[in-house]
Amino acid sequence: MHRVRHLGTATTSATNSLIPALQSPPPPLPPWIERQAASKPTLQNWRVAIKANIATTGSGTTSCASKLLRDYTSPFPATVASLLASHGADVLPQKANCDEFGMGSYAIHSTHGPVVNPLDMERVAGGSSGGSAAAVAEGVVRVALGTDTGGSVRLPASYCGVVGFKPTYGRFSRYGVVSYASSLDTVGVLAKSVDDIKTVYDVLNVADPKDPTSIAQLHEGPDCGQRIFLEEGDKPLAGIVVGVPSHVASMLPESTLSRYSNALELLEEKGATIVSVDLDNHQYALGAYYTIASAEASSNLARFDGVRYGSTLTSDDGLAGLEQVRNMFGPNVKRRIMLGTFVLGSSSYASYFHQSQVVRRLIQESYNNVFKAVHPITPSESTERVGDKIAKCDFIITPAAATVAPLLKDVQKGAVVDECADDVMTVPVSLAGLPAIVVPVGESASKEGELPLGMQIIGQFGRDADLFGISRVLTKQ
Amino acid sequence: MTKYIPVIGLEVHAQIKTATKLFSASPAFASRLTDAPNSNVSLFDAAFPGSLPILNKDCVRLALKTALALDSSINKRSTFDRKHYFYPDLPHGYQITQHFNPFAKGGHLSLTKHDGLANQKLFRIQQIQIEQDSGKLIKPNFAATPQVHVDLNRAGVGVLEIVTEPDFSSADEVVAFMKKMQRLLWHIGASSSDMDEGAWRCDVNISVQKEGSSEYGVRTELKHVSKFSVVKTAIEFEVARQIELLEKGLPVLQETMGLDENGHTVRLRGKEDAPDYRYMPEPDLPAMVITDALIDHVRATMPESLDVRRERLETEYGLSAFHIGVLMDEPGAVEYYEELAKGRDKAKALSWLTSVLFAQLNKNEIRLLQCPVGVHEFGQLIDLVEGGKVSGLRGKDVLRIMFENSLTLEGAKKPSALDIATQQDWLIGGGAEGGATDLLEKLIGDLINKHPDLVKAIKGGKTRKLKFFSGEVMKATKGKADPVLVDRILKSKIGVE
Repeated sequence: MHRVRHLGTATTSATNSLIPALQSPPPPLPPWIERQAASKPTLQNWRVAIKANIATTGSGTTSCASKLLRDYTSPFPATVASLLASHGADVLPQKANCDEFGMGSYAIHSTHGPVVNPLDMERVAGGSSGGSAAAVAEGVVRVALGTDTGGSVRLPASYCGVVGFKPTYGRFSRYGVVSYASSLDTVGVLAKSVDDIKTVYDVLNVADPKDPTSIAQLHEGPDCGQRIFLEEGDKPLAGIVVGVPSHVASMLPESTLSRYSNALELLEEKGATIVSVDLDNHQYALGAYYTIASAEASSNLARFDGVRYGSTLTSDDGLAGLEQVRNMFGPNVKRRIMLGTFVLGSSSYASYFHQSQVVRRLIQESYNNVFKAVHPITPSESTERVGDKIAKCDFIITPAAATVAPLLKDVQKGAVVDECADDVMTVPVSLAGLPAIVVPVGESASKEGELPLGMQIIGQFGRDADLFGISRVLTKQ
Repeated sequence: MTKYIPVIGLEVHAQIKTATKLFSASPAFASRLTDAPNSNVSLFDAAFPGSLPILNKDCVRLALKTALALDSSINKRSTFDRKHYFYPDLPHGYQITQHFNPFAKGGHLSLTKHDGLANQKLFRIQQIQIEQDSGKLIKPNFAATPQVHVDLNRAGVGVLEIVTEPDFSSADEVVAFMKKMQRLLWHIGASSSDMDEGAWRCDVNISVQKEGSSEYGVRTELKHVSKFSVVKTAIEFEVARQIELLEKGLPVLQETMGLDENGHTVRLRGKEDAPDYRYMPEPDLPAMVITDALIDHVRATMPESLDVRRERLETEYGLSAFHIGVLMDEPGAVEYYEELAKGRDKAKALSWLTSVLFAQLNKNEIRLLQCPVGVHEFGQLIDLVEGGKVSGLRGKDVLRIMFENSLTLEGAKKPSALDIATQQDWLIGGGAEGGATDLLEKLIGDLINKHPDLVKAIKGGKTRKLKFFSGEVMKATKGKADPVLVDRILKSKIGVE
């Protein structure tokens, strides 16, 4: 285990959640960030950890948990890191450990060693933002930033029993976030309470001129989340319709199913109406996700050729040197680069990559068909067909994972056959770019001594703030 | 004997003339040879992890101008793609280009006899796309060191790729087209007039077709040529090579060609090792949406077309085809000329511009667009000379001093032509009212009256004695008098031819 000290305040982690780093002076803030922060130090004294694939300027702090970037020092900080600092947060120089470049579901593919679960050290913390989730769960930080491409914030939040939030795609700046799959990557937040997440959300929810996919100005519509947030009565969720996807139950083991039912009962008790909704084409989501994510990864990681930064070529022979540097990628990253390279090949593009894009659009439409709110950018046509009675909802709820955190030794020896299968609940949400929050279900809903399992509440595109009200009700016992 | 007709298509790559690069804030057009290597490189240009591309709207505006000038249909929603290959001068491991859904499609450029073609011919444009330039490899000239250096100054500069249909049937047509296309691009401000430093490159697809046949032959692709003279030699060589193969009953192979030191095509690689570029939609950039309002706005800023301009110069100013060519070949010259000709003799304005000013520019090795002497200032000089206040020879000296002042008096108020002539004491008659002619008439009249014997001798055929009078005039005017004018007045007063 790495033991980490952060100046006077001991910042130690028994779970290997933090990567050791030297204290370094904070970088100067971009003027536009400094201007908006001046009057509101809302995060004063909040200790925050940032995932290792989000750029900070300390020496070796942007390793992305990769051997290739172990000694890399970023010349600039990510916008999200600057925003936290500018609002008074005490950003740790140590970075949150994770799967290499954010690729993985268990935070075990790291050059800094695996992260273990603070609730049961024999188990994984979940990935890829495992260090972020574990650091919050073990109390070394109040809030942590992770990244969520296909569930990398939501899965570890579920395994570690904390709240994990994935915003609408484009809501938080990606500038300075080392790209894994650009069209899916989001910065997420982990904390012990929904209120803390909301506070950080308000800090990070700004348009970034340096990120071409930043859409933070997006109109959020009638703020039903705000209303629930302030509701004090018995039935704060009165009038709210929550959808339960019809295909989910059959994918769950008995133990998870009973927790799911408990959560639904709780929602009803608080006044919500539960309806069953059909989400078409979700059986293809995992395949489409891994095709698109791997393709984009193979492209984004092409820049690591040893010519400019990170580990550099030592061989005189250019090709041998390139091979040497690229051999520093871990096996999981290599696998995705190979897969991505294959699906983009001229002979496979149409049947794999293009087909996956079609599926992605269909999945987005399937959500459009069941949400009351209209998609602000790509509304689906004629969702209301004559004679059809499609149940419409404000939110969708599913478990965040099929099971609780697996044992580290099982995943390391490959007993968990398919690492990807754990992403089945989270991946469709990423493909559609929707906001989602994972909350541990209230203590009454789980037996004593049981490991946590989070419930995932999904909202329509751009309706991030609405999630905080309903998730707060779920956690407030 | 079978006759073969060349079938040629072009891919023109022209750097877009903007202050900054296509996706970063680094200077684009400052990336000249004089800049230190890697001095115009931003985080994105060097592909630093976490950096993102921000589209330069100026590049879009200039691409739009190009599409309008070529009559292409503009794609209201075009997208960017990544083209992948590993090379040390390509920092991201991919080039951002427009493969699936380009900026504009269709269109044409028409060439006439003025462009060097026997008959007017329309060359069709297939598509126009916006893409990034790559960096450069620098190989030091030491055989001993295997090291190669990478310069990223050029990496990420915006480039317009203009793809034509295979409408060319000779090297001359290709060269004429390239010349006109290049002139058009600088005319509308989309690209530099500078042929050096890789601002302009061309890939040429060449095949030959049996006369009367509708089947295309197998084509080869000639990569990266930038000089007109080289293009001509290379195409003619390649066409001859392909015909020779076919005559011998051998197949033409689908190959990528380079050039040897003689400008002859040589095989670089065959079809079997053509790279798979793994094109992928660029996920970091949203679609480029072009509104009708933007199109209207850009259309309103378009200059007149080259063909309209040529006709206007002919009818409005009576210029010869040769002189129209001279003006249209120099960026900014037509505008300069039209301003200069306002209220002046059209032919004289032309001659002052194309012989006097151009000579001074050539001597200083600068282009008209960088000329330190503005139209107004130059016009004042012409008026001094044409008004007989300064001799033609001295006028050229005044211009020389104006050029020198522009170097030495940077920022300061520059003396006018009149100031300089006064200061140098080059004004005929000290700038007195009535001008030089009156002064000389009086001076010469007095001299003739003083020397009746010499006048008689001259009238008797000893015209060499004229020199005495002109010498006296020069003495009296301290050499400022226009010798031509003096000679004319002398002869008319004495009455000899």
